[in-house]
Amino acid sequence: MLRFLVVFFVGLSFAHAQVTVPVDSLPTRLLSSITIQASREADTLQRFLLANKAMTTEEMLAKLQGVSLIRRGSYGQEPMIQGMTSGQLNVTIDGMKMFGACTDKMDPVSIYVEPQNLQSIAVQPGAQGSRLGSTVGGSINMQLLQPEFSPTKFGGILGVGYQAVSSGINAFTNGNYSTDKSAFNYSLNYRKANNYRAGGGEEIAYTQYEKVNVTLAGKWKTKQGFWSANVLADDGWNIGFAALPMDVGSAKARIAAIEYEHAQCHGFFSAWSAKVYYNSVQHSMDDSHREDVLMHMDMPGASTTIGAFWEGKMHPVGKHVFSFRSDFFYNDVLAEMVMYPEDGNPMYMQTWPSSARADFGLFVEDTYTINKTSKLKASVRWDAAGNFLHEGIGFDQALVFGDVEEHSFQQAKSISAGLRKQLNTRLVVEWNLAYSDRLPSLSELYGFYLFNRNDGYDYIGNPNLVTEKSASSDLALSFFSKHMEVSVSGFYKDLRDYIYPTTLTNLSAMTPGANGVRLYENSASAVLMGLDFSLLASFGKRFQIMSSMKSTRGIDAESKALPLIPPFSGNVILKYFVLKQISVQAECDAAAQQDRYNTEFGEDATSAYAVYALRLQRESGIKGISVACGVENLFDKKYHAHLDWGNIPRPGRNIYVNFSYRF
Amino acid sequence: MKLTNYLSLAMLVTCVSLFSCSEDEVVVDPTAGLTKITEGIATDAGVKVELWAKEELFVGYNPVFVALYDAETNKRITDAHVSFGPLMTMTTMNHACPFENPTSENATGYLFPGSITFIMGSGDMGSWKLAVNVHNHLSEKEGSAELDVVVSTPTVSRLKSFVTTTGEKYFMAYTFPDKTKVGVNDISFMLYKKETMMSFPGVGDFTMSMEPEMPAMGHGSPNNVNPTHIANGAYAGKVNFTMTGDWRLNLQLTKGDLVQDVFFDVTLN
Repeated sequence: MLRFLVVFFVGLSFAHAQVTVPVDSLPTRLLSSITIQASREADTLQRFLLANKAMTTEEMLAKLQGVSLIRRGSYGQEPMIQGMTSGQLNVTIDGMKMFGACTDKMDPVSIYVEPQNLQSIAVQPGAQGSRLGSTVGGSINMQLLQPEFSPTKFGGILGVGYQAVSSGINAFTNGNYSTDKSAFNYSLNYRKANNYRAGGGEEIAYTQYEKVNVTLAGKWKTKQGFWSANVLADDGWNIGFAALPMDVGSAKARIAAIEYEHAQCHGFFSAWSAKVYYNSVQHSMDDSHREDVLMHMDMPGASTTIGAFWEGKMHPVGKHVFSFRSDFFYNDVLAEMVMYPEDGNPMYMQTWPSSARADFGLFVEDTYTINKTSKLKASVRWDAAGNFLHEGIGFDQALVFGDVEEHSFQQAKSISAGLRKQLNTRLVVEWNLAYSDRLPSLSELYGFYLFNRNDGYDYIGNPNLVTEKSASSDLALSFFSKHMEVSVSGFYKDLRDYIYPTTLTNLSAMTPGANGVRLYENSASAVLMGLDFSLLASFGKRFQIMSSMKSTRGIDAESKALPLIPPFSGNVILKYFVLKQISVQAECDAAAQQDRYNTEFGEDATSAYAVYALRLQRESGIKGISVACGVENLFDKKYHAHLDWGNIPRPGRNIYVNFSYRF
Repeated sequence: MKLTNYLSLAMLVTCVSLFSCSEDEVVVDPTAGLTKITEGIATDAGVKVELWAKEELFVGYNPVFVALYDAETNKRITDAHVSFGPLMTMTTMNHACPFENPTSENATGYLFPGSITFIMGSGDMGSWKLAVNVHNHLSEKEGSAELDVVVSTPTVSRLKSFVTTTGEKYFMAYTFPDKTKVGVNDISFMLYKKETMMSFPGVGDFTMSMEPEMPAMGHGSPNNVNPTHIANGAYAGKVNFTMTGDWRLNLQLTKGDLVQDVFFDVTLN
């Protein structure tokens, strides 16, 4: 905490430094949660990160305010917002709900989006994220690049890159074709990495991956709006997960969506859009590359979702601006396991029984302008959901624990209010209060002997789980000037019926070597709190600084530390423009020691670390070649972050180079 | 007009023909799903005997079903007293095995159900004959059909035996009343004591506890129900299979000071 305060004051002191008034200053401000819905634009920080063509979407997420990543493998890291993950978050692509097909969470939805197809990522912590679904943790919405209507008929980019630490290559192309009435874009992305070397030179096994991503989108103008259609296909194979006992043999995702946007309305609405979508994920785990396998097993999983939503904004009614969203999705999952003993017959079971959730939700929000300097935003969301356990082997399995209902119905509600006040031309304060529920996930309801490598327990689902409830408050103070934006925000969440595992001593584990069995239960309570800080500043025409820091603390009902809570960590990026098109950048990523950990979940203390990077970039203009190169983990430090399962070391010194040609 | 007349006529004809169906034609095949083992004639009773079972006869508990027909008219006989007399003829001696006679003199679904628990297989050691004794209530005649049966010895044993310290010999077998599946399964264990070469009565005074496990993985399953005695040496319980594959049902039998461990290997596909 003290360390944070020191950094904070140092940061603030920058804010008070004298700045001259140059011609070009920072283009956009950090989007606060109140203004974020209005825009699809990437904020300055994201545009900054998108400029690094080798970066993956997950690497980008890790640098955003409030976001951490749980790392089980070098690709396929699971996002976390302010200490909350998975079923507590909405992770969507263009507003579409998508659910992983892997019981071990090796396939978070963020792996299907490449930075090449990203327009922006909208991260809304807490109940502010409830526009997109019932949530206590917030939402991450990855907005895909839409086809552009531009006077240039056809333009695009071709690029290739190499990363020495894993002998990895990436190649990509994207392009936009536009006519008067229609526009199309495509993107193609290929990545291949071998095992990487950690600091000190040790090769870390099972960190390889290979994948291909293709997207195609079309947009057509109508009299009053646009039709758009897009498809995405993402195939990954041979993806290593060093922290888990198995790797990914293949992961295939398919997404298709059709949307209609209506602008310039005369009736109630100022704009509305409607979308219908489908996505499916086929995932299979693979242990054939592992040595010392006690028993070979196949673990295929499938998750299919169909959904639709209609959202819009009304014309102002007095000082009120209403917006709404009504959405529906149906998600069907099945995860199977076949084990092959040396002597004997194969054993088949369903770790996620064939089951489904249907969810219908309604969201309404009002932004009320109190006066020139104050705005009040209030929103409510209501979800009605059905959980279905389909007849068959999965249902029969569940009967070993007693009678099970074929279906159950649940509701989730959320209500939030926020006040944004412009204290003066430079200072803005924002205070949000919210109460929200989130529905338990299908894995938490129906999972059957899911082995958790981190704590060594087999997890059983609990069909009687009720919604997790959160009462939260957050306060943010932001300072804006022509050349600087600084923002500090703190949050406090009181969680009730927190979904947390309980060890069942009367049941024996199924996985050989497991410590026992745990059941998901609504435990008494938990508290999460933290502070986030971010800074963007420019000095003169040439110098830019970006920095973000986060600190979280989680406490369970018995005042013990919650598992998987990151320590105080942050990054600083210094960028210097040698010429208009040539820039150098120095970065530091650091984390403090994490002493607050939970041994019952297999955690241990994690040492503090700081890693540095140097980057050099030459951007082309509208056409031409861009080059980026640099060194990451400059001093080849061997380290891992607290959220890295199995304490697997992160990559060591990486020299990389990227070429891209814009045509 | 004419069309409706034709339709009405058609309907009338259909109705009449439906209602005039004789009872004999609306019969559900009583032996659906069963295998016919063999048949014979109990000459003195004037009865043709058919022996049916769930599968070919094996060493272990075999639920069997007897169908009776009048030897001359071939009409089914559903009221008779049926009893069994299994006998294995070996080189040096003969012996019987445990069995259950049909409890009722009225057929259930045209069949008389019982069971034979063969304790050895047919082969070099000897051969089995099953006497089916019939007291025909219609004709008041009695007779016996001597059926030759072949009893196979399964590779995975479905019959276990043990001898206690006091020299008593017991035989134990099991049966699943329904097709086995993942989840909860009813199961029955049969325990018989060998009194003599010819008499193997059911034993009901043991206490059984059951622990299923998968030997390949070393884990069990939750919420099984220990078998408890129902009647005539049959103990009913519930076994839970959490997945397909090879399972071992471990049983511990206790009576007073006597403690005996028995296991059966079962494969669920």
